[in-house]
Amino acid sequence: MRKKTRLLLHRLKVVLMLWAVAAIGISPKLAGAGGLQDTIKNLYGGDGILLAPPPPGGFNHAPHFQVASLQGLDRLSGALSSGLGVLALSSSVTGFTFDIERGVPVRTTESLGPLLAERAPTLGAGKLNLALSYTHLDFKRFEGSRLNNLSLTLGHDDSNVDGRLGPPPPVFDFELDQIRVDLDLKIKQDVFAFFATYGLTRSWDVGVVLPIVRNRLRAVANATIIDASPTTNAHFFDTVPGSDQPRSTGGGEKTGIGDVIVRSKYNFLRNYEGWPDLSVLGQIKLPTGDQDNLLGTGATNFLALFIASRSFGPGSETRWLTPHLNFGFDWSTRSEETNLRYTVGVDARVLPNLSLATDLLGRWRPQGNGIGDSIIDIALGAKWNPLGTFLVNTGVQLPINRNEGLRANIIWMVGLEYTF
Amino acid sequence: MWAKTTIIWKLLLPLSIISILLPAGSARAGEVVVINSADVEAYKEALQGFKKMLRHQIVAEYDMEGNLETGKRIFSDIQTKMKPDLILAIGPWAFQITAAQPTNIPVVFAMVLNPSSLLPGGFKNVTGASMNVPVETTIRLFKQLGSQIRRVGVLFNRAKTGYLVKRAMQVGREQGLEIIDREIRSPREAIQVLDGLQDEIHALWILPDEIVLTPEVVQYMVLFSYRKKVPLIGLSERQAQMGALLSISFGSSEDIGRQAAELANSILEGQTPDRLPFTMARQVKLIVNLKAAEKLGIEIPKSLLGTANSIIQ
Repeated sequence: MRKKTRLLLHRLKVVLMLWAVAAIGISPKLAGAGGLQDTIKNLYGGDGILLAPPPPGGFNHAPHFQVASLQGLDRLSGALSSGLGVLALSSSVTGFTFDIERGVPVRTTESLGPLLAERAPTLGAGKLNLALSYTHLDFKRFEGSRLNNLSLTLGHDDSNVDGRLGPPPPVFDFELDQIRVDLDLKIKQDVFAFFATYGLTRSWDVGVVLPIVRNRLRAVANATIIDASPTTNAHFFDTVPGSDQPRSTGGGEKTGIGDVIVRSKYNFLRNYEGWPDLSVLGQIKLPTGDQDNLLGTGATNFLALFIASRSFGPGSETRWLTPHLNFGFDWSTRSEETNLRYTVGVDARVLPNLSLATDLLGRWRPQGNGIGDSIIDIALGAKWNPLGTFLVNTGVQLPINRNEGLRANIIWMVGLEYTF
Repeated sequence: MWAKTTIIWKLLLPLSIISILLPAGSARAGEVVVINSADVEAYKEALQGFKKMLRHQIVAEYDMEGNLETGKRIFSDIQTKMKPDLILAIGPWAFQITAAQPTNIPVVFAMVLNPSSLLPGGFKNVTGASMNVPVETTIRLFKQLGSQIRRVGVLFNRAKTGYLVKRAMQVGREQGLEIIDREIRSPREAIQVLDGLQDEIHALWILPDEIVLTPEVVQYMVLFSYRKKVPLIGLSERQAQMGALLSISFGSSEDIGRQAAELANSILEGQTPDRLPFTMARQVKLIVNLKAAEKLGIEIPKSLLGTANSIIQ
């Protein structure tokens, strides 16, 4: 058994080293200046839309949409960025309890644990749980609009600074023109996460999560001038140097370490007559991920989570059904990211080595920027225990309020877990 | 000349004796292999206690993971390849695997309840530290409850706890307490037998017996205790919470591990296991249920309350 453990630990060490090398060394294609985060902002050269220059001696209409386009693209860029970087964590399983009256260990047939939520029991003193997970996100919607069919309408400058657009005087009717930018965005994220949790005492776990994130972003923009002025034809694109083309593209791919998480869970009530098992979890998310490339949020977060769970079943050894509840406050150094979290769910051991789990996951930002402030998802999945303490889990996460924030239609997850 | 020779002899002789004895006294550290029945907290604590007290070397630790087949494979490997000087078997499954098969390697067990009942054919080259609370301790508890308790009822299965009842009768006789024993073979029979005991006993004792410990029997014993105003002594905190007046169990897994280490030290330093009887828990945990005492109309003596590890109020 010991040799096996050593061999497994050695293999895990090799895998970790490979990941670290991968995270440092693999960045196949870099985005332009400013990283992936500025992909949209950097469309049209990064300085907004510049139209065709005027004919010699004519009035210069070229920069009339520059400010509006810079602001519009920047806002969209920021809003999209804030939707990335949310990571889900899993929890583990215990194997035996001790029947003091009979003097024998009793194999527990509790459920194999929730998919993304936390349950109250801890690992146990001296136990080490290692897990790998892979999550694939293909974002499809932003605030209810399809990412491949986003549209920005840009207004004209107030050229005569009279506080309104358009006439009087009649010659300023060109201020009524607008530009519509049609955007086709492809945003994909792959998160490989390595979890290590160690039981310091029977009731106290500490852990670390190291995510390796790969982001792929591709943006194609097509701008169209909406000529709303009745008398003038002032705005148009041209191919002369210094002016922009109606079509602009950008994007790239970046892989690297995401925001590292350190966490600790303390189980203060367990197996107490009439009460659920209760725990508190403290977690710090460090800004180790490169924010410029959307690998991290750039903020430090402090999460305090209250966890309640209770297993039910016909006997003390066969408690196959475990409802669970998580509720917490996640304080961020960026106040708009501070959020309240809640999860309710249930996991059930339907076969001796198979559990099914479902979670309703919610996040609400009281001081948010109005974009994706309330995110609610449902997770459905299964955990399979082929041998010993080895677990294979898989699941999907589906949006409940798909018109809020940046969302994927479906998030795929798969993971492996082993407890030594 | 002779005087000189005598002095030399006088010096040489003790030195020679010391040199002969030294290798024996400080012989190479004995090699111990540990087999753990399963990964549970109580067994880890026992192993901790064992390590603290052992004067020899643990060369390998194995976990059966609750699987008897795995245990057999581990044991076979140990016998053929490792050949240690002693095996520590923690928990009943490791004990059964190691003690049931003939081996020249001495076995010390720890954290085993009713070891005699697990191997009815007896065992050789084996000793250890059981989880059992000494019968004397429980009998003393009954005596402390008052002189009105003269007859104590026990239900038991001869194959499992017959040896305990025999010992209890002997100790009880010495202490002026009569043990009214009733053998049972099934939980249903237990309930019928219990009804038959109602006017015969002043107290009831739950033995660590598989049949007695079925939930319906324990529940019925609690009911019987309240209906007949007969104090019940159980085996765990859970039973005290269910309504037993007192419960007594082993107090420390770590100490049981230490007891096992003391036996292992003796064996590795020359004793034979057959000359070392298995030990009982020397630290016990007493729980007093004052709610039950009130219902039964019994006043718990202060001396008893003072020794309680936990009181249910």
